[in-house]
Amino acid sequence: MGPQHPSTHGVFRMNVRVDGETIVGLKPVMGYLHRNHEKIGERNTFLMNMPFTDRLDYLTSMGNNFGYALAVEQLMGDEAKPPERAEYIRVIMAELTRVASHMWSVGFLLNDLGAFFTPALYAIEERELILDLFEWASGSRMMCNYFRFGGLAADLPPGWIERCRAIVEDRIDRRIDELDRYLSGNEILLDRTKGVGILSPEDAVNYSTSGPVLRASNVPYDVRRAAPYGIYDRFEFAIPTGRRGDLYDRYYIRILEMRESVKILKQAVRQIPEGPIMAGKKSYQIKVPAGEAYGRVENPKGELGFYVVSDGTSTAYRYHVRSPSFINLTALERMCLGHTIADVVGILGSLDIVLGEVDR
Amino acid sequence: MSIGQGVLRGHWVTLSRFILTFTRDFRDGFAFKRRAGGSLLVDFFQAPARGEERVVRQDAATDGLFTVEYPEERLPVYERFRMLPVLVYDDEDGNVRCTSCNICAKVCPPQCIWMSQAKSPKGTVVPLPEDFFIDMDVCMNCGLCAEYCPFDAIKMDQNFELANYERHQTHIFSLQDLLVSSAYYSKTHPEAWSGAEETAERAKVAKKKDQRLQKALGGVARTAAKASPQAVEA
Repeated sequence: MGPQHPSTHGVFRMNVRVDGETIVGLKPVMGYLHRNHEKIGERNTFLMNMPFTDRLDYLTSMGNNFGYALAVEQLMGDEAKPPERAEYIRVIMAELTRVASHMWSVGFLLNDLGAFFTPALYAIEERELILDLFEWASGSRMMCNYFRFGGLAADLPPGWIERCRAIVEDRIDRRIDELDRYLSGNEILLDRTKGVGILSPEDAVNYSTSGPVLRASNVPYDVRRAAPYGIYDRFEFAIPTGRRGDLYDRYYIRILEMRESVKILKQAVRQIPEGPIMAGKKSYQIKVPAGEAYGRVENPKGELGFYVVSDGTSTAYRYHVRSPSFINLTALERMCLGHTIADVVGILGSLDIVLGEVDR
Repeated sequence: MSIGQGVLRGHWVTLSRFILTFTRDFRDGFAFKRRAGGSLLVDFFQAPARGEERVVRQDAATDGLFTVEYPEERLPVYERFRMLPVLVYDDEDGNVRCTSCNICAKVCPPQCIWMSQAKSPKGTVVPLPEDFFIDMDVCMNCGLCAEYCPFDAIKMDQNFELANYERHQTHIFSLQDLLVSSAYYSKTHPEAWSGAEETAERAKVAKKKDQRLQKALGGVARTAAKASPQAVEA
């Protein structure tokens, strides 16, 4: 089954075994976008790798930066502990990323279900405003390259926090409500999604899925709570879970997660302190002691981990990425068995894959 | 499948958005004066001149469906917005700021920068680039070169309209293609230019560079001065 999803334009296909219209077997076929990310990461110095992480999941580049920065900061120890303000900005950026990514995924799930344009465009509008913020602060809408080890590349420009506050405090909530009102009760959507692509909690855990896919199957696992990083332990937020683990739950969990993100954002934007944004001096040659580290973050699509082994030289000895899109794909066959071809498209959409992260 | 309240509610959302979009345009007066921006009827059918486009700001209060009708309308270009690297030369003395120290090439993740250092007639190195190349097809616009350049020489340009007919020769930019004046840079990056950090850096770097340049060229001048009397004698 050829490329049918806008994000799988010729880089992903599914080998589907069918009995009439019913799926009896499915193998994802990937590797068309392979760019040797991990091997290049072993050639690059630690800093040079930062912009490459943007290109993994290009919808969540701030989150990718965060994970990689955490991994290397773990190796560097206390000297690379980001100052307070940097920690707050990191959380704000990561949560804005989550809203932007979930907006995109909700919009495009509807596209997969056959309703292109209106839902996607409504969702993308809010994403646009967030990307404007990213562009203003970091210089780029998608490939932000904003985090540095021990801090950030640049402080927020004047006026940034005010606009962010205006968007967070009284806009996004209303827009999520509208999206919810617009889609969640729609009978056609319910008909296409309820009871489709069920993943049981046991299966979800056994396939090591993460993120909204896992939580939709009623497993309340979130890295922000299970192993808090940055300053996430200071914020109040809930971990929403679905009940049945079907396509509808995976859609609705994203709406709920956006609301929780807005909650975190409101707290962070109110509490953000003044101060420096970098620990130590900015340097392109970073001293990374020998050792190994695994930095992980709860990215919008699931747990994103960076495993870095350093032998004390300027480059990583081993660099590996545990990417959520790739691992969530392993459960695809399980979810599709017994359903029809048309459902497969929706189920793939509910995983919210980005092939840049699958093939790396 | 039954069609009930949910679908109707969805239609109500789309309808209200539709109405909102048009009322917004009428309310703000953009319904008739998009494009050329004038008040005449004919202006509706004219495209604005280059550089005269309306800049659309999207903020928390924007409502309705917002579509930026590029190229007749544009989004604001933020100061930090980065596309391709450029090399800055100072307007006052015409000197290229780059000293060919190679740090940008070292820090460039896709390794698309390479350069050769200038040599004096005597053969000693001069802190200036003889040539400087950036393969713009390979450049990934990450801005690390500009961030870590110790002489403030390499900066990120904001020009994103880069369509081209040919990509094999024209996309490897050499020194001449890369040079921009400091006046241009101060215009595109007013905040950074007037910021305390860059002002201090500029003064420091100018002094440092001047010393190095004097040292390198001073050697040449001395040998030239020494050589000429001998020539006269001969």
